Order: sequence, then structure tokens, then C-alpha cells
Amino acid sequence: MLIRRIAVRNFRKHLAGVVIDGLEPGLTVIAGDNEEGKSTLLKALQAALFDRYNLSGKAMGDMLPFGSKVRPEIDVDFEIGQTRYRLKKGFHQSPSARLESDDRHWQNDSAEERLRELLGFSPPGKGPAKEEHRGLSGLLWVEQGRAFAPLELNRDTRDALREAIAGEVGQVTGGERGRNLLAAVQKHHDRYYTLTGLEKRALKEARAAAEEANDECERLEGELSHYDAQVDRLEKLKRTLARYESTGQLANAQGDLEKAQKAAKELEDLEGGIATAAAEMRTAESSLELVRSKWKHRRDDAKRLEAVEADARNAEREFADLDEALRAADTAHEQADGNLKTARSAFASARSKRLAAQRELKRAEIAVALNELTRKLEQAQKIDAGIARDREAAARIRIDEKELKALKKNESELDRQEAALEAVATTLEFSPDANQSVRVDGRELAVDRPYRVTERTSLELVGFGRLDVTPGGEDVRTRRAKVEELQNSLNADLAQRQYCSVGEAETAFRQKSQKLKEIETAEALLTGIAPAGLEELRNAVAGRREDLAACTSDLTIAPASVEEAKRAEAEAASEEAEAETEQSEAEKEWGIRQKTSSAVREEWTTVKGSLRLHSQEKERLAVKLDQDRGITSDADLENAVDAASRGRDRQAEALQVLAERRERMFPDLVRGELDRAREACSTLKDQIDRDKRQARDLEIELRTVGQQGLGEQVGQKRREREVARQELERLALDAKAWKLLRDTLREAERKARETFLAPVRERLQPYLERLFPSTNLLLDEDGLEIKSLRRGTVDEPFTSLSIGAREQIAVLARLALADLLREKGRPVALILDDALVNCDDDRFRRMGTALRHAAERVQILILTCHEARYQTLGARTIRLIDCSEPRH
Amino acid sequence: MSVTLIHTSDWQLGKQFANVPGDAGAALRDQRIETVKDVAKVARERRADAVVVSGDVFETNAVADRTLRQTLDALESFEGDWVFIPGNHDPALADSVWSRAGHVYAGQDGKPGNVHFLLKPEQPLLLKDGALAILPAVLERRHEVDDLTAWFDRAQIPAGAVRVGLAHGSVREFLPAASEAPNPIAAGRAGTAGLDYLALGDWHGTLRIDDRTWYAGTPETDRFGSSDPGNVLAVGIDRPGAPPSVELIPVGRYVWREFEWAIHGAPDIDALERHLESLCPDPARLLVRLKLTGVVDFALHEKLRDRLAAWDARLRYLRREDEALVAQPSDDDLDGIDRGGFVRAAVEALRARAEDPHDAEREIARAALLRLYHEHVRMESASC
Repeated sequence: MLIRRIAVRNFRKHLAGVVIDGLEPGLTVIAGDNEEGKSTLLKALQAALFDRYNLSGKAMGDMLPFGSKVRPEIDVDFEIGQTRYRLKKGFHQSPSARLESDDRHWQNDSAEERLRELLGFSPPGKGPAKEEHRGLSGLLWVEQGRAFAPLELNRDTRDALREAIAGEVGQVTGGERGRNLLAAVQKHHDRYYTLTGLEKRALKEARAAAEEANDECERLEGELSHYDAQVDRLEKLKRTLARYESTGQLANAQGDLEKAQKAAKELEDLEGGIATAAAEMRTAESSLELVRSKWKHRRDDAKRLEAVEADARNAEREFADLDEALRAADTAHEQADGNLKTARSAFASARSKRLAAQRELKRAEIAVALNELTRKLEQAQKIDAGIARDREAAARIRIDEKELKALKKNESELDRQEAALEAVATTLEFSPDANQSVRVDGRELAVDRPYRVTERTSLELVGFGRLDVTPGGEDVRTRRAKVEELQNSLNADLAQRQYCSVGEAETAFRQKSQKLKEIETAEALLTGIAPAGLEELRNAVAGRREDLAACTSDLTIAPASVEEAKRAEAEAASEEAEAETEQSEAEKEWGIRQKTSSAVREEWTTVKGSLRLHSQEKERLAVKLDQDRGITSDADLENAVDAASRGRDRQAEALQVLAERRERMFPDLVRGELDRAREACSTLKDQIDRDKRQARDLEIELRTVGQQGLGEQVGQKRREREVARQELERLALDAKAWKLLRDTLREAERKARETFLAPVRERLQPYLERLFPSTNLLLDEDGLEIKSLRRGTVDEPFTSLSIGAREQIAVLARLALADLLREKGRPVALILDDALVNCDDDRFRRMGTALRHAAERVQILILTCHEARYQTLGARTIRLIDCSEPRH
Repeated sequence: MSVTLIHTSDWQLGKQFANVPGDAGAALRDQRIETVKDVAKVARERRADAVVVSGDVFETNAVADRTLRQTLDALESFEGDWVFIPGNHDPALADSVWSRAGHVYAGQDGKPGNVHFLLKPEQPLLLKDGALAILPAVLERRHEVDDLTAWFDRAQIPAGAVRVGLAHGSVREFLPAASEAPNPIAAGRAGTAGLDYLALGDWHGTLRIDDRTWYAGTPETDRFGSSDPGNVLAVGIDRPGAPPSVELIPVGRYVWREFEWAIHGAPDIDALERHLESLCPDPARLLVRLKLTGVVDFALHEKLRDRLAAWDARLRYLRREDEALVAQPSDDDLDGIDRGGFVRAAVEALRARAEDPHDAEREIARAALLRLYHEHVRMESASC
């Protein structure tokens, strides 16, 4: 759709009229200040296209300029496809509508009918056209202040869009019917499952009921089975009891028992006889044992007496021997004691002799040492006196080596300076005539050799007169002064040490050195004689003298020689050793004798005691034997033993006879049979009693249980179990079927939504990228309403976005939908009445680009009071003020 | 002296009908006592000398006291002799329903003289002052390997007495299905034992073995598949040795029928309904086990479902077995649900699964499709 011209007269504000002509495809900005009537222009356009020409009432009244009763007139020229249409509508007074194309025209109702066909809208039954009656314009023509609202598509627009989409992807959604079906299925599903897919009560209860019925059934079956088993048991018991009766089992057992009891009685009697015989036998044996014991004791006593007598005799003999030995030992001991005393006395004497010899030897040795020390002392004292003299002589010579070297050095320097003076001195060589001489300071000069003048010298030439010679040059004077200085210094040094010359000083120094060497030699000698010093040597001499005095009180007796003393000491030592050996021998002998004597004495005492004991025992035994024999003689006792032995043998024979009789009865068998028969009888009786009791108990129990009708209960429970099982199966299948159906429908619906919205997304996304990069717009596939903006995984509901964002997104969505509709041949033009008032500059610039891009395909008219802002878009601008018509 | 007997057996009192849930099962249970009363009534009307009951009076020895007392009460309306032998369901064990019946009677005024429980083996019962001798084969356990009627051959009874045998077991030659069954009865026993009549129990349908040997069958049918049950036999014996007259008297209330029906189109449903109508004049007495086969589309399945729902309400009991009935959606069915959109996509996904023999949830997918179709039909009808 392309709007070419709009002319409005007498419509609300436009009482004077306004004509906007020459509208072109693309983007056109229609600018006007506030209250200048640009929004009225949009209302006029809507009225012309969508309101009935013969509209009346308040809606019509609203079209009139305030306070006027004029005829509002609106002309719209537009193109759809290749056809150009001109629409003229007049309201209120002589209302009319006329639509013309190049070759046809339509008047009034048919004109409006044609408009409906062209623009695809559904007019209201009566009253003014609202959004829902304006077809696509309801979406694409945005009134001031509504741009940020949801799209709120009217039915015609929705249908057109659905058709457009279906043209691309076919019919993918299920529509109202599909939704209803899904809702119905969901309801069925919800009977069985919770929101989270868990089973609900219906299924759970059915399952529980089935399980409970099964458990109950199994319990009852168990009880019934137990009942049947008990019936069988009762049957068996009854048969068993009958068998006891019919076979006479108990009577037989009792017969067996009686027989066994009789046999056992016989055996018991016999065994009583055996016991009596055995007791008698034991008595006979006891008697025999008694007399045998007596007889044995008698013999033992006699033997014992004999043995004791023999022992006593032996002891007496032994004692006599010992007594003699003891006397001999005592004698030997006394003798050894005497020997020992003698030896000890000899040893003491020899020891004192040896000690005296030792002392004499020591005195001789000290005397020798004293002599030697005395000699060394004298020698040392002599050397020491020599040293003292030499030290004194050397001390008198006062020059030392250093001083001598200094003198020598000065002398040498004087010589060197004098030589140098000589060299620069004026040399006078005289060749006097015979006997002529030369005098200086009154002294005659030797003229055979040159004379060197180093200072002004007055020569007296004999025969000639006086010659004053003045050696020339500064150098001679300096050197001379130097020589004089050195000479004076040397002379002073020598004079201080009282030497006339350096040679004399050197001789004195040499003498001093010689003295010092001699002292050194003497000191070495002294050290050799008295290493610890002279005083020490003197002390040593004094010490020895004291030692010597200590050795003897009588100092008058001269000590013997050392050799003599040594000889005397060796002799005394030898004698002492000999005496010691003898003493040791005597001690050893004494020890042996002492020991022997003790041992013999001990044995003597023992044997003596033993002898006493034997004597006592012999006496006791003899008395006892005599007494016993007085009561019973040996012969009587022996006879009594024989008699008891015979009695015992008789009893043994009788017992043997009885035992053999018993063996012939097989006592184990008899007793075994009795036990068996008794036990068999008792067991059988017990068993019968038990069986009877059990049968009685069972009958009572079964009668009680039987009354409960377990069989019927089981039957009933099985029926209930079957019903519960079938019900569960039915419910489970039903539930699964509804779930599968619900899931399948949902999945299909989800896929359908995705497919359905693809064409819209495809066109919307490029626009969206310009303003909201990396986002997706989610649309409701039913109402095609904007739901949310998805950033990443986060959905922001449209209504939560800022007004600016909402405004921009809504305009972009319109651009995309306009593209889609235009592509499908729908008449599409976009009118935005100040739709972008909430954009910042950057967003506005981007929106401008999007609008320019869209305007390449769709005509876009922008009504605005922000002319300057839109100028940046480079769009054609029409000022409303320039379009006013002069008033007719 | 002629003898008239009412021969019946297999009352199976106390049976619970596990496979018939709900009220129908309760009605069947209660009816069995009523049928005993009907037997008594027949005996009274026929002036019978005795009612001989050939075992399995009770479903189990462990029936409730209430059932036992109801049974004994039901006997009171016939004053002739009631002769009972135990069967394999109620054998004369050490403790049995019979011993308990004795206790019940003992607790009242003692056992009536006309009620005879034959529980001791090989002991004839003489009735009508010795003119009628009843020879019982007494089952003392559930299963016997030996033929308990063997002693009939040598049983001594008063001369001139009508000789009637009473046994519970299988005549193997005549009951192929029971060839391995215990409690055997020789086929020619009536002949070898010189019986005027051998009254047998255990087989639930009425069955003639020979002129003198009959299974009375259960008087009230208790299962699908029994052949000719629901009768008692009125046996007339003019004198010893004379051939007995046997009259079959229906007494059962409920009619049990099982059959298979193939559905391939709407006419098959109509035919099924006609067949159901023909089975019993009173549908409330009819129990049906219906095995459906065939392949139907969803529309037909929906129709079948509706029709059978109506029959389910009308009949005493309807057991539908439609495992062999395949509900295969036609293109029309599926188009009917939706031709496009996500619903159709879901339908196609489910159909693919339902037709995939390797899909473990194939049956669930089929059930899901059916439900979807049903919902669709429901919504359609709601919007109409």
C-alpha cells in the first residue's frame, strides 16, 4: 500500500484544512509542533478508511471542530498493487463516500465494501471503528503514546499473519481444537500423575489394593493349606490309633515286658547269692591276711634283732680303732706346734739382721754421693768467680757494635769528601831551586809532591817571597766546609767515647767481644757442673749431709765401703729367705696335723653316738619279741596261717560255682531285654496317649477353623485379587496411554510452535540484531504477541523491559511483520506517531537505520514534533505547517 | 414297589466365582442355595422317595458355618430322604464339612432322620423299609487311585430291594478329558454290580453313560464351557431289575454362554446383537464370555464400544476378551481427529509406534490413539 495524498478539511483541528501531497515510497517524516494536528491527521486517515461515512452520534461529533457544525471531509489517494485509488469521504452533513480507481468508481456503501475488500478489515456493526476493526492498520499504524504497549493484534491481522505464515510452513499448529484436545488429554493425564510425573492416588491406591489383596489371599491360602495339612494329620493320627487297636500292639508289648521281668527276677536272685558268697569270701581273705600279717611281723622282728646285734658289734670295733687314731693325731699335732714356734723365732732374727745390713749399705752410698757433690761445688764456685771478673772487664769497654759501625761510616764519608775536595783543589807543584823551600804558616812544605790548596793560603816561597793562593770557585768552599763539618763530628764522637781514632775504637770493641765469648764458655761449663744452679748444688750437699747424719747416731764411725756393705746385705737377705722357708714348712705341717686331729675326733664322736643307739634298739627289740612270744608262740602262729588259707580256698570254690551259673543265664541279654520291653511298652503308651491327645486337640482346632469358612474366604479373596489385578492393569494401561498421548501431543505442539514462528523469527532477527545483539524475541504463537526477550538463557518478560526497550522492540516487530505481510501481497504501510520518543541518541540512530532499511520495501510515514531529530535520518520531511490550505 | 429318585450332584455350595466380579458374582453365589431349594421343590412335586446327591455338595470342606447352615435349612422343605456322599471337593476327611454338619445338628435338635450322610465305606443304606438299598462309594480323601465302586459288585442287600449305587468320580472311557483324572469308576459298574441305577457326580453337565448310569450334572451352572448343565434327573424304577426311566428337569437359573465373534464391519455388530438376544429371553439371567476377533477402524471400534456398553448393563455379566480384536485407525479416523497441525503430527507419531512390531510400547501407543480418537468424538458430539 502506498499513500499518495491526504487532504483533510473541517476535521477536528483541521478546520482550515490540510493537504499532504506527493507522498512517496520509502521513509517520510511529517513534522509539526505540538497541537499542530499531526495526530489528528492519523485520526482522519483512520476515519476515512475505516469509519462508516454515515457515522453518527458522539463518535461523529468528535470529528467536528470544536463548536462548528461543518462537514468533515477527508480525501485519501493511495495505491494497492498497480492500481491507484482516490477516496473521498464526507461526514455529518450530506455524508458520502466515493472510491475511484482509474477505470471504476464506487459510491457510499459499495465504496466502503470495496475498501473492506482491499484492506481486509472487519468494520463494527455500529459505532466508530476501533483498533480491532482496522485490519492491518490496527497493528501498523501506531498512535502517539502507544508504541511501547503490547501489539494486541486484532483478529483480521492475526488471520492475515497466520495465513502468511501458513503460506510458508503449512498448517503446523493445531489451533483452538488442538488446544482443546490437549487440554482434555492433560485432564485425563492429571487424574493419574502429578505435575512432576509421580503417580497419583488413583494408581497408587489401585496398586496398594492389588498388593493387599494378593497378600491377604496368600495369607488365607496359607491358612487354608495349613488347615488341609492339619486335616491330613488328623486322618493319619486316627489311622494310627486304629492300627494300635487292630494289631494289638500294646498287648504284645506288655506280654514281652512281663516275660522279661520274670527272667530278670531269676537273675537278680542268683546275683544275690553270688554277692553273699563274695562277701563271705572277702571275710575269709581278710582273716587269712590278718594271720599272715602277724606271722610276717614276728619273723621281721626276729630278723631285725639279729641285724641290730650285728650292727652294734661292728660299731664297737670301729670305735676302738678310732680312739687309738685320735690319740696318735693329738701327739703329732703337739710336735708340729713346737716346730712352728722354733721356725718363727729363727725367721724374726734373720729379718732384723737383714734390715741392719740394708741401713749400712744406704749410709755408704750417701757418703760417696756427698763427696762427689762437694767436689762439683768447689769447681763451680771457681768458674763463677772467673765469670764475674770477665763481666766487669767487658763492662768497662763502652763501645758496642752499632756505635762502631756509625763511627766507621762517618769516617768513610769523611774520606770520600776529602777525596772530592782534593779533586777540586788547586794543585801546586814546586820545583824549587836547590835548597830553596816553601813555607806555609811557618811550616815547611815537602816540595817533592804536589800541594793542594783548598782555601786561601799564603805561601812563603823562600827565596821568592810570599805567594797567596786563592783557589777558585764556590765548589771548593762548599766541599771544604763539608769536610770540616764531618771531621768535627767524627772527632766529637771519638772524644765522647775517649778514643783517639776509629782504629782505637775498633780494637777496644774487639777486646770486649773476646771477653763476652769467654764468659759464655764459662757459663756453659758451669751449667754442665750445676745444671740446677749453684745454690741448688749447695742445697744438695747440705741435704746429703743431713741424710748421712740420719743413718747413724754415731757419726764417729766411718761408713764402710759400698761394696762391703752390699756384700753384708746380700748375706743377711739369703739367711732371712732360708729362715722364712723353714717357717712356712713348719706352718704347713702344723695345718695338716690340726686337720687330721679334728677329722678323727669328729668320727670318733659319731661312732660313739651310733654305738649308743644300737645298744638301745637291741634292747627294745629283745623285750618286744619276748613279750609277743609270751602271748603266741611262733609255732601257733604258723598253724593259724595254714588254717585260714584253707578256709579261704573253700569260699572261692563256692563263689566260682555261682558265677558260672550266672554266666549261663546271659545276664546282659536278660537285662537288655527287660530295658527294651519296658521302654517299648512305655514309649508305645506315651505315643498312644500323645496321639489321642493330639487327635482331640486337632479335632477341636479344626472344628473352630472350619467354621470360619476358609475355603470360601480364599475363593472370595481370589476374586478380589483378580478384580484388583484387573483394575490395576486397566488403570495402569489407561494411565500409560494418557501419559504417552499427552507427552506425544506436547512434543508435537512444541515442535509445531518452533516451526510456526520460524518465518517471523527469520524476518525479525536481522532487525533485532541491530539494537539487541545476541537476543531472541519469543512470540506467543497463538496471539502472536511479544512474550519475552531472551538473553542467553534468561527470558525477560516484555512487560518487565524498560519503556524505551519496549517501544523499540514493538516497532521492530512491526517492521518484521510488515515485511512478512507485504511479501504475501497484503497492503501494508507503516505510520508511526512519535513512536520513538524514549530512545537515547545511539538507539535512535540504530532505529533510524532499521526504519530506512524497512522503508526500502514498505512505505513509512513518521509523524513527529521532533523534526530536528529525524533530519539525521536523511528522510524526506514535510512540514505540516506548509500544508495548510487557505480557508475556503 | 416302585421307587422315584431325584438324582443331583455338584452343588458346589460356597463357590465364590473369582472370575465374575461385583454384584454378578454375589448373585451367582446366592443363587446356588436358592437352586437347592428348587431341587427340594422338584422332589416335593414329584413325590420322590429320596434325593440322592452324588458328591461335591460343597465347593470345599472349609465352607463357612453360615453356608453350611443355609444348606441344611434348604433341605427342610423336602421331607423325603436326602442321601449325600462326599465328593473330591468335600471328601470325608478326619475333619470335614460333614463332621461339622454333625456338630451343627448336634447343637440343634439332632440330625433329622431323613438326612443321611454316607461317610463310612462299604456300608449300604436301606430306605423304604429295606425296599431301597443305596450303595455309597465314599471318598475319604480327595483323590483315590482305586475304584471305590468295586465293592458294589459284592455288596449284600436284602432280597427284592432296589439296588442303587451312588458315586463321585470319572468314568474314564466316557470322559476323555478326564482320562488321567483320579477317582476312577468302571464303565460297566451298573452291570457288574447288578445296579438298578448308578447315580454319578463330578461331571458338571448332564450325561448319560448307559441306561442305568447317569451324571446328573450341576443344577446351577457355575462356569463357562460346561455342556448341558442346570438340570436334575427324575429317576423312576418300577421294580428291581426294571430299566429306569430318567427325566431331565431343568432347574438352573443362570445361562452361561461363551463364544467367539469376528467383527469386520458394522453388520457384524448387528449380527452379534441379534445373537445375544437369541441366547436367553431374559438377559438378566445370561452370563456371556465374548471373545472378539477381527480388525476394526476407530469409528467402528467406537461403535462397538457403545453397543457393548449397553449389553454390559443389560446382561448379568459380560466378559469381553478383545485381545484378538485389532483397532486399526483408518485414514478417515485420523483425518477426523485432525488433518494438520500438531495434533496430526502427534497422531502420526503414535501410529508409527503402534505399527512398529519392535516398539515395546506398541500397545500403549495403540491405546493412546484410541483414546485420542474417543476424545475427538466426544468433543465433536459436544460441539454438535
